Formats: sequence, structure tokens, C-alpha cells
Amino acid sequence: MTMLEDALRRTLAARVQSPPPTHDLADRVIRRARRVRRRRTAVSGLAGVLAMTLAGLGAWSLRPDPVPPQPHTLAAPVFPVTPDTPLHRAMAARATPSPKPFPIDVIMGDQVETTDGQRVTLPVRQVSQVYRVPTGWLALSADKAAQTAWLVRADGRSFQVADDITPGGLAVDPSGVRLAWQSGPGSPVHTAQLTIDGKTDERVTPFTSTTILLGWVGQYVVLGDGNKQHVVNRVDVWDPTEPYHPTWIDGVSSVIGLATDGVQLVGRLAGSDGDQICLVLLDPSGRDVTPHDKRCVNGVMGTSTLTLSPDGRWLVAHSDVHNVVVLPMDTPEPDPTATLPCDWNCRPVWADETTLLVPQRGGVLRFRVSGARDTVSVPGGGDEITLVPRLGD
Amino acid sequence: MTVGVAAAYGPGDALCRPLRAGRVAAPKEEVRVAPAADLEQEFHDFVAARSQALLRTAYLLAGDWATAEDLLQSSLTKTYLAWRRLGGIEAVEPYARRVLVNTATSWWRRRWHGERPTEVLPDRAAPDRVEEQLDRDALWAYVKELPARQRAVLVLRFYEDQSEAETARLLGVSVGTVKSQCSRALATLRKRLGAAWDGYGPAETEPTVRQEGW
Repeated sequence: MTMLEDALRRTLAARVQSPPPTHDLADRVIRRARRVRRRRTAVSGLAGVLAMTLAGLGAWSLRPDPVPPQPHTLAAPVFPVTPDTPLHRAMAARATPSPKPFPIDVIMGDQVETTDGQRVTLPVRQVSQVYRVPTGWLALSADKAAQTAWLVRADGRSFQVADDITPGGLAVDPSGVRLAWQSGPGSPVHTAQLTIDGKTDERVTPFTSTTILLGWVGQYVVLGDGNKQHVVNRVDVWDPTEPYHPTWIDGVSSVIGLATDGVQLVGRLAGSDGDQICLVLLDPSGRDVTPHDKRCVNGVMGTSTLTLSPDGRWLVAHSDVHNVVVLPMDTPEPDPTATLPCDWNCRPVWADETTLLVPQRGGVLRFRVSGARDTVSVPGGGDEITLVPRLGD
Repeated sequence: MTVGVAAAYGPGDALCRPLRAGRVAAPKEEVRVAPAADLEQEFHDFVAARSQALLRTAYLLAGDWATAEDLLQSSLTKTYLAWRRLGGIEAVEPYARRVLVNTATSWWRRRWHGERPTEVLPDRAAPDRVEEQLDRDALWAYVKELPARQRAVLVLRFYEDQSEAETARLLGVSVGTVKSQCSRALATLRKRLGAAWDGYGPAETEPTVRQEGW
């Protein structure tokens, strides 16, 4: 028990020593509940009338040349996944039922199909990335020049939340509530908060001409500073709720996640090459952000994308162009715990602290750090599968 | 009447006592519908017994008494509606508490985009406790600035004395998330208090935190 924790206990207890009296609270609550029930009853009645009207209009509007969609609010249909849908059948047919069902969202063309009962049509035909966020799904178009981000709600409505995003220039915080984006190297970084109907609290922060938005780790936006070829050789972390003060960290090319203490960050040393990568710890909460506790891992491709588990204990990296290895990060010299098939362009996703999902042809390999693994079939046959990371669970 | 009900919903009993709704199970699976007046009376009793405790938690989540009362009223309304709809809630107080915490965090997402003005603090500390009171005021001011989810974790862990597992269940997140949010909140408090209050420095008091980094 630290002094701070003791002080917190005393402070919180002291703050609530004398709460004000709550007169007639139960009566007020019951009256409010009655109003809510009356309103719900009225709304459900109206919804029934509206549904019948829309059904009639829908039949009328089925014609060869459909009306083009509205630019900012598209109505994307949401279909329940019934017992006849392929994903539901695949989940039901798993040989070993999971004690705790784990959710998988899969991108299928311009749709996302989920194991928790929905199929959502995205407002763009080709997407480069989709995130599951508390308010729905955040989809990023696959345009090569300037991309557009859309929030797609569970009720099917879509809202454009950002545009003119350079490829790779969008980052979402781990809670799935805040996002940051940039139009290109050196352009201002926009930050905003996702809401149920789009975004709010948008702020624009200017940066120097070589600054690149790299990602979002914990509460920090990760920025990179590179040369003319945009090779990053130093990084900075910025809490966007506070003004930006540059504290560049030389020799680090990216920040890949939170360390096991949930406070420090894990950075990747620039210049990692060949079959070795080196990682360091960074402490953004302290006054000194000097990298420390360098740790190198052999047997992985220096150009591999690195994926750290949410608790910082496990690292996933490509050992060659066909496989990834899972490495424990709580030992000084990590040795691979497992090798899993994963082609160069496949992107594993952590479902929780101990479960890694690896897309395969026609299925998803579920690997637990305990060593257990099984495969879940998903629709699409031999097609490549793209998993949707879930944020804010 | 009130005394008896308060005892029934006391700290030990409240966690496991179900609050019945429209139906009451009778022997041989016979079901009868309880009069609406009975349901309301039962809800009145629960509110009378536990509203002050829930209001305290709401205050720590919201930051001021007016918002806390609004938050509590919203949460109890949801609880009451669910109770009627579901035909009974096992362990009503944990249910209400969970609704309270989740409503608080969702309010923050929707409505709280700026800092709230700090209310006038009661200042009746004895002379020899003035410094302690000032320290508490500073700490409380920083707690109020934390993101809603982190503040909720601190309230559940350090005011309600809930375990990490129970906190995770109440918030609907993993234990790992509770640990990381708690750690992050404490680090933020240490950082903000650091300049004014060196006694809370992390490295000297808890060196293992740094060493656990990997």
C-alpha cells in the first residue's frame, strides 16, 4: 500500500461524510419512470406505423437505377445474423465450445459481420481499416490519396467524421472514443471525440513540417519525426487533453503499446534490421523520457509489424513471410512460445490479454497463450479474412 | 417500518436480497401478480435504505452534489424500469451500482467535455489539520480531472473497497483493463501532485512499479 493509495482512501471518505438529504427520491424516480414508459409506448407505436410505411416505400423504390446515397448520412441496413447465416453456423459448429464466447467481427467486402448478431453494410465499397468502437464501427475508406472515416451505428446510420486523411494517418485511442487524423506529413493533427452521431470537441494542433501521426497508445498520441523519405528516427508522445510541448525521443522509431505496468510505453529502437528487433521502455509520466531497459529479440524480421498484447506481456512478430511468433516479454531473453501460420499481409488481433486471433484462409485461428489453439470457420471460403479490432471492451 | 427495511437492506443483506417485481414465485410454480402499490412500496423501501450510500458513490463519480443527485435519479429510474421489465432483479444493489457507474461514464462521453467549476469546499478543519485538509483538497481536485473511467476505477477500488475482479465485473471490462486504468490514474495523480507534494513520489515508495515494466 503506497502513501498515495492511503491518501486516496482518506480523501474519498472525507469528501462524502455529509451527503445532502434526498427528499422524495423514490417518488421522483417512479414519476420519471412512468414518463419514460409512456414515451416508449408512444414511440414504439409510431415505429410500427413508420415501418409499415417504409416497407411500402421500399417495395416501390426497388428499381434498376437507385437514387445515389446522401453524402453525410447514409442509411446502411443492419441484418440480424440468424441461425442460417454462415458465420452463425460456423460458430455453432466449433468442436470445442468456449466457456466465454469471444466476439469476432470480420470484414466481408463492404460489410462487417459479427458473432454477436449483426451484419452491417459500410458506406464505402472498399475499406482499408475498420474498428469496433463503443458507438458502432469506425470505417476508413481505401482511397490511395485522401481517405474518409465514417462512423457506422448499430442502427445502420452512418456519419462522416473525417476526410482528407493521408493513408495511415488515422489513429483511435484504446477506448474507441477519441480519434486523431492528419492530412499528410507536417500538416496539423486533428483530434476529436466520437459520439453516437458523429464527433464532437474537434481540435486542431499545428506541427512542424516533418511530423507524422503514428498511432495512439494508452492516453497518448504517438508522433514521429522523419527525414524526407519519411523514415522515422525519433518519436514523441502527446496527451491531447493538454497543450503540446515537444519532448522528442531520439533513436526510437515507433511506440507499440503499453508495458506490463500499464504506465510505461514500449518503444521500438530505430535501425532494427536483419532478424533482430530491439525494444525499450519509455516513461511519459516521469520528468525523464530517456529510453531504458533495452531488450532485443532475435529470430524475427526487422521489418515486421509488431503487435503487443493489451497487458504488455506478449509480443507478436513475423519470423518469416509465412509465420508469426508469440514471445513472452516478461523474461530478459524472450524465446518464442509458439509459431503460427500468418502470411506477410495478415494482421493478428488480440481478442483479450491471453487470446490472439490470426486470420487464415477461410477461418480464424484462435491461440491462447497457454498453448491451446483451434480454428473457427468464417464465411468467405478461401478468401482472405480481415479481422476488426475491438476497442473499448 | 423504515427501521425494519433499513435492516433488511443493510450492508450484509443488500448484496444478495432480490427485489421482486410484478411476479412472486409461489409453491408449485404458481405465479401471482403483485399489486402495483406493493411494488412501489418495495422500491420506496429500497431507496430509503440505500439512496444515501449510492449518492455518496455518485458524488465521487460526478464531482458535485447536484450532478450526483441527477446521476442517481437517472440510475434508479433505469433500475426501476428494468426491475419491472425483467420481473425481478437478483441482488438489486449491485445492479443499481453497476447502472450508476456505467451511466456516469456514458454521461462523460456525451456531455462532459470541459472541466467543471470547483465547488466551494467546506472549510471547518481544526487548526492542526489544515495542511491535511489542503492536501486532500488538492488530491480531490486532481481526481476530478481524471477521465471518467479512471475515476470510476479509483472510486470502486479505494472508496468501495471492491476487488479488481469485482471492479472489472461492475465496469464490464477485463481485470487487466482495471489494473492498467488504476495504474494510469495513480501515475497521473503522482505526476500532477509531484511538484507540489513530493511525499507521493513513485520511485522511492514503490520501486517495483518501474521494474515490472516488462
